[in-house]
Amino acid sequence: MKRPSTMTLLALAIAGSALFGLHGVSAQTAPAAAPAAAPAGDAARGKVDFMGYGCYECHGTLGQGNFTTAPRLAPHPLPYGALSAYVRRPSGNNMPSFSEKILPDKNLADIYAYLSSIPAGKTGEQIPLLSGTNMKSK
Amino acid sequence: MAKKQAGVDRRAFLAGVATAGAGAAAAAVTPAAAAPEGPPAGPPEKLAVPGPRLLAAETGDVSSDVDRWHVRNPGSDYMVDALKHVGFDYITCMPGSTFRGIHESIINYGGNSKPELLSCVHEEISSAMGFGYAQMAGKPMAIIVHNTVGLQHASMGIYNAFAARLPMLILVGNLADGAARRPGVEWFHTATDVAQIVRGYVKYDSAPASLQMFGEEVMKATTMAMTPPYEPTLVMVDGDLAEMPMEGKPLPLPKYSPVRPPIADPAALADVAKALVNAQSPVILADRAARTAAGMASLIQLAELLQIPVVDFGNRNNFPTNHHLNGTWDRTLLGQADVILGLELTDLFGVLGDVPDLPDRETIMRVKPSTTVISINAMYLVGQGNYQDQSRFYDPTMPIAGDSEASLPYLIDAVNRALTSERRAQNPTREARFRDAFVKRRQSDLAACAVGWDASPISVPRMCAEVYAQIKNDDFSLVSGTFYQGSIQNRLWDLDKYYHLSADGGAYGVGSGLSAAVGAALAARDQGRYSINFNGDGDFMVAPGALWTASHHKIPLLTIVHNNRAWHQETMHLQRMAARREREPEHAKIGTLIGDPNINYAKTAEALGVHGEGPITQPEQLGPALARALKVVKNGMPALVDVVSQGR
Repeated sequence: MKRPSTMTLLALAIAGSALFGLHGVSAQTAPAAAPAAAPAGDAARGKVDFMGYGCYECHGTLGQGNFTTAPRLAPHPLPYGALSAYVRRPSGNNMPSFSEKILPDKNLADIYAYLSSIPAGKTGEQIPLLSGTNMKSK
Repeated sequence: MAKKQAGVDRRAFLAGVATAGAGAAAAAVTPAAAAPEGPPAGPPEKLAVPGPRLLAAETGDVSSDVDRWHVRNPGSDYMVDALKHVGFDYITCMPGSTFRGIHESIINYGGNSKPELLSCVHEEISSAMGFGYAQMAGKPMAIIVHNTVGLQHASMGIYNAFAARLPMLILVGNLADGAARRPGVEWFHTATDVAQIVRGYVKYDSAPASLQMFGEEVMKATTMAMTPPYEPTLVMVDGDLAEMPMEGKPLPLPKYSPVRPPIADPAALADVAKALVNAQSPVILADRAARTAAGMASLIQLAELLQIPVVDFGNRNNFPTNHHLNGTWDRTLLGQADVILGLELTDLFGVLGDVPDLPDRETIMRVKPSTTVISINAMYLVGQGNYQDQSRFYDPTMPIAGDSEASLPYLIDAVNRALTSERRAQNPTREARFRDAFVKRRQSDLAACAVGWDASPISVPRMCAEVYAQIKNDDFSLVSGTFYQGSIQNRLWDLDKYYHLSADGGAYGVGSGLSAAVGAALAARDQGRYSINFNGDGDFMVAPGALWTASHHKIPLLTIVHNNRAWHQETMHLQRMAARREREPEHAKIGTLIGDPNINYAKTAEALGVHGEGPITQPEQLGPALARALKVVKNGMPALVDVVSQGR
């Protein structure tokens, strides 16, 4: 039968539980040396690539991330250098490495343009269904 | 269909045992009403010139109870008495001729009550319903399946129950006497040792050769299934025993006495108590620990006694999600812990260490070498050689055999004896720290859930929030696993009663989720609640016929299809493989997407007699659709909402 994950559920409850809370590929996982400027990219093509290369599968179609498979990428993505370095040589255990052979720099730049184009939405406080969540512990 | 008997004079035998058989029925513990008289079954005989068999039937020494065409005291009536005696409320069934005798006895002799027969359209539904029912009811359901082909279909649900440590009594129709079998199908539907199909994942199996033995084996098998660790057991139902009259003296039914669960050694529990009291950063890890509400209450008591955080792995509702000591989502706990108490951990190594999905398959550990690891587990008491459900070996500091729920009250007593005033004085500070962490964690989760709120496909946090908004003031049960929704329900919903969550995935066998939910919802219905089921689309399509059972038996269950139009986990696996091999990652969706054409789950539901809503593609449509569906559910019937949603 099918494996529910590359990790066991038990391990995910521990190790994967805080991925979403990191709010993106954080400084603690991003390589230190990274070029500052992002190359020009096409956001529309990047959206197609984001879906085509399967980035959405773990990160969500808007790069929103989730609690079990992958962190948030957008809005406000990491600097391009940090993100591209992580895509090529990820330091975590879950992210596959996408080499330039299968994801050329040009396509990665387009994907970055797409992520950069995603606007920030409402905050939790602005969403009634979320803002009413119980904050009192037993 | 009457069987042609070979060799011995079966008719004479029937006549000879008829009187004794009638007496046996009268002596049953809970005798049911006799079957009404009716016309003889079978094709009409040619009556112009009576043949020798008809002549013998007309003129022979025929008792009032038995003749060539009738059996008025079948053995299967006694079998039903045995099931009633143990107390089975339900028996799931897809009909099969190898157990037609007991099938008829259940509905006519037994009055189709306790056990009530539940109609299923696939044996995997039968077994998975039993798996789900046991989680919520805390007691087993009986299932009955056809020989060979039926048991083959049922096998995955049985394996899930085995892996989940849940009880179930499996009855399998059988035709042991080859000389009495009809040519053809009855041979294909018989095996010399059919239980071999599932022997690797049942605790016990038996093929009784007499009615007396059947009664005793039902008691034995149920007793064993209900002794921790709970697991399925199997008893064969021989067709001849079931269909022929009872023979000889009245058959007494043995007494059914539940076994008291094994409690851990008191000296060992005293050592555990000392270790917990003296620890600076203890953590409790609870997997399949709480079997009942009492188990949850005991765990709360132990945690509060020392203000120890509890990590709940979600296979049981061990600990309230809104308790300040619920540390499930704090990934710093394990690395900092100096004492770890594991309760019924299925995968102790997998909690404390990992083998990341990288080509080198390196083993890494999450805990310090100096950490004291205590494991209380009933699985030390049993073992199976083939299936690897007990996971990788890990040598804890203190391995202790015993049932955690039964042992907790004694551990609490030991902690009270070991607790010093100095240690007790630390509790307020510890409590304040964990209360603060709880609030910060929920705030962080809320912020994360807001991202992508208006997305289409609909975001998973929004799907969960829309549901919770409409049920949070009701008494409900969530009867599905939460992993594929990122466990958002465990993070943000207040699940503080044991029955709020019934989510064990067992062996993660995809395809049993819907059926298990129907089984659990049946138990919840009997306890006065409706149920909620988040169901992946890939799982749903394996056995959607379970919805028909839910409708047929009026089970109030709201199913939300988490419709990401994929076997999404496998999509990610394929993506990983393609990236690792540096070839065509954009092809990884071939064979893992469920689209072109898209499946309409609402129409599927309606075809099975269930109210359907959807497909819901826009987030603003979801709340009203859920409201309509919940109205149906609150009126006692199932409903389904198809939510086109993000993968995770």
